[in-house]
Amino acid sequence: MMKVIVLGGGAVGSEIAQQLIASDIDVVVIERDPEVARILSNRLDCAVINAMGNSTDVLRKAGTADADVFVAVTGSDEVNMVACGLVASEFDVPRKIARIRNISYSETILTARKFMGIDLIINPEIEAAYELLKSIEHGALSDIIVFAHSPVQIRNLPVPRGSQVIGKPLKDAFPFISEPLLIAAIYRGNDYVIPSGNTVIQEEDILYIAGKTMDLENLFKSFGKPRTRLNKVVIVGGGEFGVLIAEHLLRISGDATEAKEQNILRLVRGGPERKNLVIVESDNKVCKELSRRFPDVLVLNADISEDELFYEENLINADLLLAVTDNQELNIVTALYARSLGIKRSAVLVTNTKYGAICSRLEIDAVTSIKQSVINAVLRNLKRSTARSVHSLFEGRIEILELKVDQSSSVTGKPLHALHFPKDTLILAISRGQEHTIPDGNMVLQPGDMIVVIGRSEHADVIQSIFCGQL
Amino acid sequence: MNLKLVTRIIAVLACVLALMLLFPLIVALLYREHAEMIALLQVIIPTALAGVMLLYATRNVQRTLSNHDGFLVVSLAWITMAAIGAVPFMTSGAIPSYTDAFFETMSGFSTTGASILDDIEVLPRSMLFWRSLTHWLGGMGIIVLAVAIFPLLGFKGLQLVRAEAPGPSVDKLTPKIAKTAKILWLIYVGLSLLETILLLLAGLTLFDALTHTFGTMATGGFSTRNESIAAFDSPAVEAIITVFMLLAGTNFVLHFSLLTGRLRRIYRDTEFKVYLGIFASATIVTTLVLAQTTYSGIGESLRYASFQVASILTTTGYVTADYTLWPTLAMTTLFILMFVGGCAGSTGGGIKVVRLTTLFKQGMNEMKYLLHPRGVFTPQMNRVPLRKTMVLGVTAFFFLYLLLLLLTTLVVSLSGDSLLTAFSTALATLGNIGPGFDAIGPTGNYAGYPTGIKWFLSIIMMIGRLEIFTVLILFTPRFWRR
Repeated sequence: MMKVIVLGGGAVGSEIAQQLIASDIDVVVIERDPEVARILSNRLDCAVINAMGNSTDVLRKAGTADADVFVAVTGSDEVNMVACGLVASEFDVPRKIARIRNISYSETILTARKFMGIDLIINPEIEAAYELLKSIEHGALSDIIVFAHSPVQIRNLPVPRGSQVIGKPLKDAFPFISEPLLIAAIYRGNDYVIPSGNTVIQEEDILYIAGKTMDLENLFKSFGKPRTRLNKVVIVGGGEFGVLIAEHLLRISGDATEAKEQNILRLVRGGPERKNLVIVESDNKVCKELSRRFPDVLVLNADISEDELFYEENLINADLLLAVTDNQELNIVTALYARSLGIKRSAVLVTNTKYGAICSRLEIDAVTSIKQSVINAVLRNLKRSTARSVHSLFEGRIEILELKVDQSSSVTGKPLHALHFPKDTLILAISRGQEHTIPDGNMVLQPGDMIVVIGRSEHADVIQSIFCGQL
Repeated sequence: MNLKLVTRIIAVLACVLALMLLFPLIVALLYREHAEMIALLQVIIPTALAGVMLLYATRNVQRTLSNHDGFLVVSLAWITMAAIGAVPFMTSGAIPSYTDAFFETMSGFSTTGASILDDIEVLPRSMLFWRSLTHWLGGMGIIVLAVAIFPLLGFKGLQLVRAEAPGPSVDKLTPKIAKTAKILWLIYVGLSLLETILLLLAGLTLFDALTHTFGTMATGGFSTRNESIAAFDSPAVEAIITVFMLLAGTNFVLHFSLLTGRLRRIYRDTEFKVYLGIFASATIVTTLVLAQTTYSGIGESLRYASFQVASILTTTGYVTADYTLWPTLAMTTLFILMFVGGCAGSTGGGIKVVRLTTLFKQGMNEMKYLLHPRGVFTPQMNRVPLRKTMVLGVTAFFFLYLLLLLLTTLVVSLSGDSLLTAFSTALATLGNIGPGFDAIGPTGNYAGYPTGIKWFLSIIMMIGRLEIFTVLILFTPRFWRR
């Protein structure tokens, strides 16, 4: 059985531990704070050692000698680095993962060269920012999951109150859409449903829909959410997260879209359209630093909850408001208020994953959770996996895998409806060469096909072995 | 106050000055000017002796120079230099009055180029050479030279260089100030050599080429001819001098960047871009005006316009045409340029482009604040934030500069000359330009002013060369408080 040492039992560490335990992995958590350690050992089914992590003795006691993975996720970059360095020099652990926040996203790509024996750097803030940016790139209409090799995306769509689709089974619900779309999952109450054609849509459902970009955009348009240009963006909160977003938005509007979209208007204007960015931050010192770093951005030193701010600084004509302060409740309220003032789209950052669904029902377009990003990062990098990319939904209860169908697999040559999968498993997309299809039951898989499949987390290993042969 | 060390430094500078006076002595030898040889030796020998004796007397001095003393040393040094440098003019009979001789020498050292001589060409060659050499020594700063040549003098030169160097801040090219000073002087010497060679190729004699190189590279303006550069009537000479005036008005750090291949540094330099922009736009305006009125054709207009614009902008003060006869628009353009000056870290004087750019950016920033009361903005220069202390320093400088300008105008108007004469005299001396308008235009000079005003203007020229604060600080009570 696989064995993982997790250093640091804070929000991130405990979340990782919980995920791993759920996947039947042996976990040892090392936590410095006795109170936190006590709570953890009560809550989690794993060994918890209450000690400082950067000591060889403690690491040996935790069983680092025969561990497969060492994960350092304390709040301190330095402790994480030193611990990984210690493990690298004293023990023989195949994989050492460290959370290092103080490193910019572009630099994390450079970690092919090992730094202090660290095999992989995970940075939850950067992962979360990356997810939010992907959503913004597609118009900030919803949360969005994209895959490495397939053009199919998954977006969430809360069913509007009083919509005509309520009460209809899925197969009849969208007569006005001719393009192939697939409902991958439905969030209902506080639980999820992997639907079939006969599942009836209820009020307050959130649909997770797989499809191609253009088809999804058409669907959102028919639900009253057309894609609009996001020229003026307000970022509330100038912390690390806000800076990451601003940096990327400026870069995207600066050069990346230049090649992509070359309409006549842009040619006439003679240059890429600059995103009009506003950052609102309550700390004066942070503001100074921001204004220095982004000379083209309007930096406002104000509390977003002040009464007249939106009118005084003319924020009401913004296209998108991103609420990314450290205070998740403030973020949600700010985003709601912004929408009520007529700002077209809003996105928020939350720490608690469970708030995600509430936000989606509350007219907030995109929700990013740092915890969720940690889960994704861990799933992608920690578990032994043949998947090309892994995403999770609903606090990690559901996983979406991108797999390549292996020759040794028994699924090839038979139509999909004749195959047996674990409960709640659904193939969302098949890519064969340049051809990408949303499958129906009659499709036949071939070796080499790239598929996107959704299923329960506990079945992830089984699903992989079905398509990819034995692990 | 470490008076012994102050004395020692002055003694060092006296020795340097005696050394430099050997150059006109050589010229006197070559041209067999015996009276001048004796006059020069009468200065060199006592100066060198006094310098060496003082050095010997102060050999065991404590070698820490406070910031405080730095200002005193620099001001005293400049006055001493002018006082000694003026003596040969008087004793040789070239400029009989000591007041005039001191004015001329201070005008030389401060790279102003304002003259009290009605007829320059009657002066002996050695005296003309010394007159131009004062420019060249004052351009890069004689203290910078001393720090560069004598790094082992035992005092740290940083405060002195800072007090003498033009511009709001000294960019250290290297970690050691002595090495920086050496590099600056090497660039200075290198550019001077290049210009001399080019002027020789353009047909000037070695004497004319050297003296005019001194006047150009120091952005001084002393010529050996009554008609200044117009006397040569050569487009080639004018073109060479125009280019080198502009080079001398550029921050020497940029020359260093060019030599070491850091082109990006030049490309990013806001001040340099503004400097070139001002030169280009002023030249275009003047050329267009002149082409329609004074001269026939764009070519000829461009020739006179570009030379005059470069000359006034860089505060050199050479002339190829009597610009007081130009149409008002062209004249006003030059008048406005008198407020600008060269770049920081150049040999040019005036308010300096970097200060004006800073003030402009700060002005724009204030408007942003009016528009967004909650906004936070950081104006940047060369992609580095403008520090508040620097902005305030520049503002203070600007104010004191204007105040001195008005004060000088008031003092000069005691002479009874026209307002334009008085004001342009103030501009031309404080900004180290040289020629002005009306009575002190290209055809006039400063000979007509009474003695008192000449002494006052001498000090103003020094204040302008030392960037105001260094000298004015001596007049504050706090400086003398223990």
